[in-house]
Amino acid sequence: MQIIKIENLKSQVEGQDILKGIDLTINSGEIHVIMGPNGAGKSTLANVLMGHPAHEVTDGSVSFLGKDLLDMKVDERAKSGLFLSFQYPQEVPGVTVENFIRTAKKEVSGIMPMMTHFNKEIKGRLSELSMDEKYLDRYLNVGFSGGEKKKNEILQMAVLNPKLAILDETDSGLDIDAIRVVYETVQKLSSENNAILVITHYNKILNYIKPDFVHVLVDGKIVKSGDLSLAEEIERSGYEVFKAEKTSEAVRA
Amino acid sequence: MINENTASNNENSLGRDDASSHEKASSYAIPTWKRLTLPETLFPVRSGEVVEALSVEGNAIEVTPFEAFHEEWFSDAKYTKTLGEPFTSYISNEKNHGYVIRSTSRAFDAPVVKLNYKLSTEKPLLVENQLFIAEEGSKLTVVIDYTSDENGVELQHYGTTRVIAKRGSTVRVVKIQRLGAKAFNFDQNFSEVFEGAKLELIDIQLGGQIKAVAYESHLAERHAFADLQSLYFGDQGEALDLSYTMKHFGPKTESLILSKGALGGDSKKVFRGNLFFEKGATQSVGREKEYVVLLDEKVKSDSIPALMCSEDDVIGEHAASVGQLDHEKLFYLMSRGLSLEEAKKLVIKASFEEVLITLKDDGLKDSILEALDRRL
Amino acid sequence: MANKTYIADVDRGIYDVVNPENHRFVADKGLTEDIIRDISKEKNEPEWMLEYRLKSLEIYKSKPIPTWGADLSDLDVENIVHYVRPNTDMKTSWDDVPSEIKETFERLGIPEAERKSLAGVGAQYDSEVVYHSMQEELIAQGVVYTDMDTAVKEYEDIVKKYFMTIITNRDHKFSALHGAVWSGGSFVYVPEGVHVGLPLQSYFRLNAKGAGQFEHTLIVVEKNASLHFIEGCSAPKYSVQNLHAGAVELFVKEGAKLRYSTIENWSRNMYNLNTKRSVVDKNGKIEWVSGSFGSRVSMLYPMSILRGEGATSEFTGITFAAKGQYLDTGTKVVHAAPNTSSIVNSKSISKDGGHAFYRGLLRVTPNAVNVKSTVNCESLMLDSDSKSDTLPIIEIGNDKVDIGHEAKIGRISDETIFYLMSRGIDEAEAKAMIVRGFVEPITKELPLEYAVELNNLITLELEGTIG
Repeated sequence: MQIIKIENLKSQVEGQDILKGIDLTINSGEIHVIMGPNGAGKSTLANVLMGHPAHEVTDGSVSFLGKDLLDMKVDERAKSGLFLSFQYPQEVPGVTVENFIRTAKKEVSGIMPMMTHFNKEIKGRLSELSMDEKYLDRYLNVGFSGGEKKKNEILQMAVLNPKLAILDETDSGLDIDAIRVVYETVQKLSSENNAILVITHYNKILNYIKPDFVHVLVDGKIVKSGDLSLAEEIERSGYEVFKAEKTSEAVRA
Repeated sequence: MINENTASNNENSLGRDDASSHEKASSYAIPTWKRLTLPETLFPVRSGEVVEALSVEGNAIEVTPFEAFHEEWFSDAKYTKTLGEPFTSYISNEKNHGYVIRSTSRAFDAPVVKLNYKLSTEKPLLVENQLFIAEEGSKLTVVIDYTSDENGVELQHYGTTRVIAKRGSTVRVVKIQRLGAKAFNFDQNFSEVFEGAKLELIDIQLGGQIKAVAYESHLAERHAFADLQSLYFGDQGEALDLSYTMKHFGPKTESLILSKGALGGDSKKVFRGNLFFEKGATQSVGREKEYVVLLDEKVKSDSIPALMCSEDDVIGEHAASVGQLDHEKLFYLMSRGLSLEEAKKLVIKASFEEVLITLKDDGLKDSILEALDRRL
Repeated sequence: MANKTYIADVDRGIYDVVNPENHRFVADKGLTEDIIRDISKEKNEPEWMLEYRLKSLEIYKSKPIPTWGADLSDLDVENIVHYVRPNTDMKTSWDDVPSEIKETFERLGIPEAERKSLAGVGAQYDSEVVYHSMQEELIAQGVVYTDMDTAVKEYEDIVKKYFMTIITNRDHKFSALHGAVWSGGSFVYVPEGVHVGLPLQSYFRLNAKGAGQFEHTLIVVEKNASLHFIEGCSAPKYSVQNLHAGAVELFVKEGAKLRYSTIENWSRNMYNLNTKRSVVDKNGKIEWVSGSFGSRVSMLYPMSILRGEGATSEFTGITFAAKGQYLDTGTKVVHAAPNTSSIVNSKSISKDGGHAFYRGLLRVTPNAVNVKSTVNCESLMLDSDSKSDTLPIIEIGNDKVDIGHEAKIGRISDETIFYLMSRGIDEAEAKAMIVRGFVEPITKELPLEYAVELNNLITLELEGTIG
């Protein structure tokens, strides 16, 4: 089943072109990885798909589970089954982690979860992620270290059970153990009914997650797609070769 | 209800209500200020020369004497947080020195104009009017050093300095006041910062039994930036009234007020930080920080860090911290052999260093630290 | 939804219940010595109270209306009827209260207060306490909870010792007015060592057109005793000015603890010029929890005077200024003794052209050494029509202090709204969640009904903004 189809997606932020024509199709059961140098537009793609107000879509289309994604408001996208694990999650003082996740669950699933059932589920997920139960009473992301914030994102993902989860640089700020725990959880959550899009420039995560497709994003466009072997190539030679390819492309054009 | 001792929401003056005044031979009535008693001997009227030395490093600088104030240069009426009357009139009418300094320099290093006023028993009065203009895209640095070789004389300095930082210019105005322990220093500074221009103000108050300053800067157009750093030291018998105002009019403007000082003896200080966001100053950021170190039990420190906001899409912050020197730091220094007195001096000088280093003039910095050393 | 713009009024609906004016005794408009004498006579007061009233009247007439702060120029105090007394005498049992009055209070939810969790309820109806009941435990502990009018007569010695000693008729014009025409209010006396386990509550209500509210609350918590007192207000809406110039005097003795919680939710045409002060003795503690919502104009600065060594004060407050409101609120702390400490946590929200003004005072006297104080003010502006100002004054009189003060003004960040929406929460709810989170430090200090009322108030206020 097709989860998302992105066609010729172009975007701008503060008048600057960032995405310059992204084409990507993700089907259920697949894990895709997008890699690329800094500034290529990887996080922008994630934010544009989620509907960040600062980014303006200038061309292209996105179909999510058969519906026009770009036409939906941010919360509607979440309710349709889209999830973004943010690179820099916001701090929201006064709102506890528990309250927030329970409210989100209610919105996304359409029904208010029963207390006992919810408690059991969330505590199970907490322990999977090696997180203390005390996090539930803490204010959302307030005073959390970078790693703790990321784990909190994955906690939400586990509870909300999205159709497509986009993980934006989820490994940054995490130590080795945390990376392992987080990605093992992600791998566990992956099923034939959903799909995962991992955005990273750290290819060691490939030790924990087995992607079906690897894409290289350079200067706002996907310049090459392949499988795991593409990732290995990047590990050996970096992104320069792709940038060169892109330049020669531009020269030829 | 708050009793009469607290500042009012009155924007026409610094809260220095002109509730009563006394007649004086000089015909300028001494105002009554809420938090500082002004002496009878203010507003002397006498003609007198001024000893000054001017030097210019760099080109494209035009220096002319300030003969009369021309309204078309600058509109005083817009400025509300001033020293008030009769200071403003007195300074206009009785002025005995001042320059109009204009820069068209686009050199990489800003040209530096250094002005040194030296007051003494023979020439104890300076009533200055200054106007500094940085033309579009230009740079200008002016350093004014108010000094005296005599310590026990009631020297008096009154001044109004006006600064225009036109589009894209970079201006820095440094004022160092070390007129000796008995002097009276009244200084008001008004600035207008235009699109993309940058203004840095450094105000260092060391001498004076009364140090009253009022700085007001208007960030008039988008992307204007203004930064004010203040350093002061208050000793036995001294009083300070420091008023620093930043008004945001244009969008995406940024300001910072940083004031650091130390109070010893029975000195008294009132710090007034005024941060205004007018409607339309969207996405602007303003910050005020005040750090005061109290050295003796009889000191009095008043702080009124005000934040007035008519625009929601801004970030406004202020922080004030008042107390003794960090005991941990002192302990650490003493454990390395310094006496308590030496440790205190070092910590205070170190904290002043943060501001002094921006002077980019080691000679000046050293002489200030020396002066501070003597006072501590 | 078509009714969005009227949400604010709909909330008022339940309180806009007006009883026909069947009051027995209505004071003349305008304030004369004779009226004062009548009031005192009607109450059967001792001579010293009458004298105090008369002296206060004199002072009141000699002082001008203050020119700073809120615009009070169209407050014609003389035209406000100062004293209105309802048909009934004091009652001790709910069953005996006349049905008309009972109904008003039922609509306000007061009977719910008569549940096990409360020790007693004193309800003010047009300047007099109508209904009063006390549970036996309190009586057995020696705790006195009655109305001020009764206290003046039955506990004369205590009242005389404390009455208008912290807020005097010399302080300002409205405290002088209060001294002349005060009526009703709560009197609580907690004897030494007694801990009152459950919060005592009190309600006020303003009914007659133009009537002023001048209740006086006097609470004395003796050595090592403790008490939580909750004050909540509501009043119907009128076109005539309504003035609230009550006074609250709190005495916290050595080692005692008092928590004073309030939600002020007066109607949008009220002038709320309440004065609240507390003196705290050695090692005593005062906690203020304050939510300022209603009224057209408020000037409210709960004040703590820490006069005993080791005394502490904690203030947690929220002010919400909506359309047409000018809320000038804050807090004052005076450290007049060594080793005292204070914490202030004040938050404000302004929207739709509302104006929130925080005015604070922190004063440390020369003899108050080893003082620690932290003040934190945060203001949230929900749109650019609103105004939010902060004017804190910090006066330090000696060097052995540790003072920290922080203030922030800003708006709800778009990033935060985006984050919440990305989890399926719609924009309106996201904003409401953020605002409730902003206010959470205050709501968590209030008893549940108040916290719920506060959250509902906020949601309703916000619905006016969105859409």
